[in-house]
Amino acid sequence: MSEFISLVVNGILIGGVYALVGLAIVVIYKSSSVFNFAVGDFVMWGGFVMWTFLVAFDLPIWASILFAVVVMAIIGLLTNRLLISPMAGQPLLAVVLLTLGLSYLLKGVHSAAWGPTWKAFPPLLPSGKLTLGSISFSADYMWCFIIAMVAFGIFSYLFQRTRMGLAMRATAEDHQLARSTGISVKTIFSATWILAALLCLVAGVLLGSVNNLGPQLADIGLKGFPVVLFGGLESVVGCIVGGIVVGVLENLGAAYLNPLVGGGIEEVVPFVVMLLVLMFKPYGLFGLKRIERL
Amino acid sequence: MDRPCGVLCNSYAKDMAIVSTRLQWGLLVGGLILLFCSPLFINLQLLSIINLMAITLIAIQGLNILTGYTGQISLGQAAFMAVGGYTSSILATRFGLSFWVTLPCGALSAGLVGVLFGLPSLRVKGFYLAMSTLAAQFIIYWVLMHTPQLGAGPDAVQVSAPELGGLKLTSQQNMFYVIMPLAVLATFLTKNLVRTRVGRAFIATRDNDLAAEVMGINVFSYKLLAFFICSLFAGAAGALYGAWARALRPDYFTLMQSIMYLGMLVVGGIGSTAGAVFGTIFMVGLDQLVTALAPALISIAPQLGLGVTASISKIVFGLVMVLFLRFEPRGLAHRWELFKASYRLWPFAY
Amino acid sequence: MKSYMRMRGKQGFKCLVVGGLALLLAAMILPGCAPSAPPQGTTPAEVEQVWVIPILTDVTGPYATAVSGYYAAVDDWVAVVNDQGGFNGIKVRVDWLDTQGSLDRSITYFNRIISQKKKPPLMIGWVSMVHEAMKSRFEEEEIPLITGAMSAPQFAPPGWIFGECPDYASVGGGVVKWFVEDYWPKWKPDEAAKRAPRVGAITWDNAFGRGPMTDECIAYYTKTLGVDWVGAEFVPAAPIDVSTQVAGMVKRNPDFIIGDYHSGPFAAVLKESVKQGLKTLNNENVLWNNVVTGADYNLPLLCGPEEYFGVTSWTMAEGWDVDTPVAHEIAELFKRNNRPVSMRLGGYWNGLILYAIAEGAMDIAMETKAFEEVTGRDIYNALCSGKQFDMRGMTPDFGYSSTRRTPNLTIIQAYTKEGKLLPITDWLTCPDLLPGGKDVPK
Repeated sequence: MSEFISLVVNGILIGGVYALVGLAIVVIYKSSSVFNFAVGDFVMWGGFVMWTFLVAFDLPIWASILFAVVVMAIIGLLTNRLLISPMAGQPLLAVVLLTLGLSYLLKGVHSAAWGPTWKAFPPLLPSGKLTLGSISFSADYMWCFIIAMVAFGIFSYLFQRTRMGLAMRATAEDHQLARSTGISVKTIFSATWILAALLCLVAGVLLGSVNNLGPQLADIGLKGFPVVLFGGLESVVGCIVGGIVVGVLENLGAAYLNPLVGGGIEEVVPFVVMLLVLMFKPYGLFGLKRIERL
Repeated sequence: MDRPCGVLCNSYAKDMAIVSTRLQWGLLVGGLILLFCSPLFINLQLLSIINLMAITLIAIQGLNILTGYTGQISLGQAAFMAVGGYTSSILATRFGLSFWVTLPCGALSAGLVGVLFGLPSLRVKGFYLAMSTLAAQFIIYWVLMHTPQLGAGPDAVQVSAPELGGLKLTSQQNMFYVIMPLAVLATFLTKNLVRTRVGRAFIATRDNDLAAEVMGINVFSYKLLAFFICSLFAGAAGALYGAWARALRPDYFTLMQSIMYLGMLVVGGIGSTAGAVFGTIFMVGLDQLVTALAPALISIAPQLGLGVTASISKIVFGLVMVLFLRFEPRGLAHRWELFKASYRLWPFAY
Repeated sequence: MKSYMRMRGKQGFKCLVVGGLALLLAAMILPGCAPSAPPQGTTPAEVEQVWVIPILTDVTGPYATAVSGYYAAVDDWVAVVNDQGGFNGIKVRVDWLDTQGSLDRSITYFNRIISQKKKPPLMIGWVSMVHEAMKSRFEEEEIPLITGAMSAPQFAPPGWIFGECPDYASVGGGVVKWFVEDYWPKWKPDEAAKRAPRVGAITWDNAFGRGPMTDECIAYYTKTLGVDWVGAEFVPAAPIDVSTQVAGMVKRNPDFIIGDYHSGPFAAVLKESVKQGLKTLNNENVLWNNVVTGADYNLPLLCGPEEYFGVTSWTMAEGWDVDTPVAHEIAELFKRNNRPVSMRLGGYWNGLILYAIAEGAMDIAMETKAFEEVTGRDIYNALCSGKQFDMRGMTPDFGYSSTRRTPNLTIIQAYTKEGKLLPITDWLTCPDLLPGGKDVPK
C-alpha cells in the first residue's frame, strides 16, 4: 500500500511540471484559439537559453534568470508578431500546421546552435530523498512541484486580479467585444505568447536541473497534449488536474503494467486514456462544451 | 476550371473532364510515356529518389483525401504506413505469401487501424481529432517496438524483395515499375474520387460539417471513410516502402515523419491533387539536395562546422513550411494555376 | 473565321513553347545520366589519385550524441595523413552523409555511390539502424562496410559488414562475467561465499538499450555464470521521470546493475538511484555499470563529480587521462583541431580505429594490385584473410576471418575518480554472444 501511495505522490509531483507545460498551451489557446504544437521546443529552448547564460557565459544566477527571461520573451513575441498574428483570418488548420513547422524550425536552429550533445545543468534544486512515514519521494521533484504551483499562482493572480488579466479574459471571451471596449487584442495576443514562453522557460529550467539538458527535452510537449485534453483546452484548473492525472497514470502504469508487457508502457498510457476521454468526455473534464450553429 | 477560348463545355461530362483539350491529351500521354521510359536513361541516384518520391506520393495523396478534402488533420500517417509495411512483411515471412497478396492485405489492415483511430471523430473535431491521431502515432510505435513475438521489435526486420515470375525485383529499375504505376493510380484515384458523390460529401464535410449534416450527409460515416481511404493509401505506401528499402524498423516511422508529410501537403497546396504531387517532388527533392550539398558547404565554409551544416536540412524544412503557410497558404498548386492562367493569356494579358 | 485561324496559330505556338521546355528539361537531365567522358590529353599517371571514403554518419538525429566523436576523429586524422603526403602517396578524402537515422537518405546516397564510374572499395559507418537495413545491399554491390555501431543483426549471419569491437550482447555478457569472476569475490568476500550475486539491468527502451538484453546473453549465458538474474527495467528514450523504474529495481535488491544508454539518460537514472538509496556515494552497496558505446567525457559532469559509477568500453576510449603514448598522441590531435570537450567521447578513439582498419585492409589489397584497380571484393578478401591490423595500442591488434565479423572481443572497465574516467582493469576478453556465437550455451 505504501508503495502505491509513493507512486501516486511521485506522480502528483512530476505532474506539476506537466501542468505547467499544459498551461503554456492553454494560455495561448484561451485567448487566440491557436494550439501551439511547438510547446515542447519552447521548453527545450528555455532550458538551453538558461544554460547558455548560466554555464557557457558563467553569469550569476540572478543575471542568467533576467537574461533568459528577456530572451524567451523576445522569442515568444517574435513568434507571435512574425508568424501567428499575420495568420489572422486563415483557417485554424493552417495555424496548427504553422506551429508544427515552427517546431521543426526550432529543433533545427537548436541543433545548429547547441549541437546534439547533452549539457550538464547545475543542480539548482536541493536533491535527496524525503520520507514521510512510509512514503518516500525525491526532494527536487517536490521543489519542482512547489515552483510550478508558485508559477501557477502568479499566473492566476495576473489573470484574475490585474487589468491585464481582465483584458485577457475579455479577449478570450470575444475578440470583437474586447476590441470595442478599447482593448488592443494584438497586444493581448503578444502578451499571452510571452507569458507562454516564460512558463516554458520555468518548465525547461526545472526539468534541466533535475535531469540535465538534451535535445530529447522537446518531447515534454507530447506530455502536455494529454494534459490539456484531460482538463479541457480552455480550463486553467483543468491543467493542474490533467497534469496530476497524467503524472499518476504514468507512474502507476510503469510500476504495475510494465512487468506484464515488457516495458515502455508509461509512454502510451496517457495517450490511451486520452483516446478514451476523447470518446466519452470529448471536451475534457473542465472544457467548455461547444454549442454549434450554422 | 479555366479553359482556352474556343473550348466549349456543352455538357456536364465535358465540364468535369480532367483532360479537355488535345494539347493536354498529348502532354498527358507524352508525359506518361516519358515517365515510364525514364529508367532507361536516368541515373541510379535520381531513379532511387524518384522511387522514394512515388512511395511518398501515395501516402501524401491519402493524407490529401483526409486533410485536404475532408478537413481532418492527421498526425499519424507515418504510423499507418508502418502498420501496412509490417503487416505485409509479417504475412510474407510467416505465411510465405507473395508480395502481390501481402500488399493489399497490408493496405487493408492499415485502413482498418485508421478507422479505429478515426472513431473519436464521432464526438470531436479539430485539434481534438489531431490528438487522437497523435495517440495513434505513439500507440502503434509502442506496439511495434514491444512485440518481437509478432515479428516486429526494435531491430530492423529484413523484407524480401517482391518476385514476379521467378524474377526478384531488387534493382531500382524493377522497383520503379512496381511503384510508379501504383503512384499514378493513386493520384488518378484521388483526382477521380473528389469528383464523385463521395468526394463532394468529403468537401461538404470540410467546408461546414453542420451544413453538410443538414443536407443529409452522414458526416460521421464519411469521416470514417476518409480515415479508411487515407490509411489504406498509407498502408500501401508502407508495404511498398518495405519492399523498396527491403527493411523495416519502427524508427523509420516517427512523428517527425508524419509532420513532414503534412508539410509536404502544405507546400504543395492542401486539397489539390496536383498540389500533392508538387509538394512531394519539391520537399523530397529539397531534402535530398540539402543533404547532398551539406558536405560541399562545409568545404566552402569550414568554420561553420559539421553540426551547423547538417542542421540546415531541418531548418530549411521548417522554414519552407512556415514561409509557405505565411505567404502562400494555397501552396505550389496555386502558383501553378496562376502560371497556367498567365500562360493561357500570353502574350495578351487581358 | 480569321480570328479562329489566328487562335489555331497561337495553339501551335504554345505547342512549340511546351515542346521547347520539354527539350530543355531533357537537355538538363540527360547529361547528368550519361557517363562523363574521361578528360582528354592526360595519362592516368598525371591524374592525382584520390581515395574517397564514403561515410554514413549521424551528425544530427536521435543517436548523434554518441557518435559526434567519430567523424571528428576521421576528419582530424585524414588531415594529418594528407599533410604527410597522403596514404601511400594517395590523397584521402571523406564524403560523408548525415543520415539523421533516415533510411531513405542512405539508400539514395548509396545509389549515388554505386552509380559512380568506379565504385568505392569500402565504406565506413556508425549508424546501425541504417546498416542493418542495408546489409543485403552491401553484399549485392560488393562494398564492404566497416562499422563502429555494433548491433547484432549486422554481423550474424556474416555478411559484408565488419565490426571493430564486440557487439552489445557480448559486451553485456563480458561485463557480468568480469563482475562475477573478478570483482564480486574481492568486493564482498563474506557474501560471495554464501550466495550468488544478484544482477539486474536498467536500460534504455530502444534498439540500443535492448542490445544486451538478448536471449543469448541474459537467458543462457548469465545462467552459466551462476548469476541470480533479477530482471530488467526500461526507461523511455526521452526520460523525464525515472523514479518508478529505479524504485522497481530497488525492490529486487541487486548487487550489480548494467545498462546501455547514452550519457544523458544514464545520468538521469544514476542520479535517481542515488536519491533512492540504491547507490550511496563512496560507500557503494550496488555497483553500477554503463555498457555504453558512446562513453562520453561529459558523463562525470552530467552525473556530478563524485566517484560512483563504472563504464565499460572496448577501446582505451576512457583512457583519455592515462599515460600511454597513443593517449598522448590522440590528446595532441584533439587539441590541435580545437575540438570541444563534448566531443571527448569513446567515439573519437573508435573513429581512429575504423580508419586504421580501412588503411590496413587497403595496404593488404595493394600488395597485389595497383590502387585504381582495387575493388570492394579485394578489400573483402583482405579483411577476411585473417591478417592482424595494427591498432597502434588503441586496442589489441586483431584480424577478421571468413566467418568472424567481430573478432575484437576486448573490453575494458573504467571508473570515475575525481571527475575523470580511469581504467580499473587491463584488457578483458568477453564471450562471443552473437546469435550462433561460440560462447552461446547450447
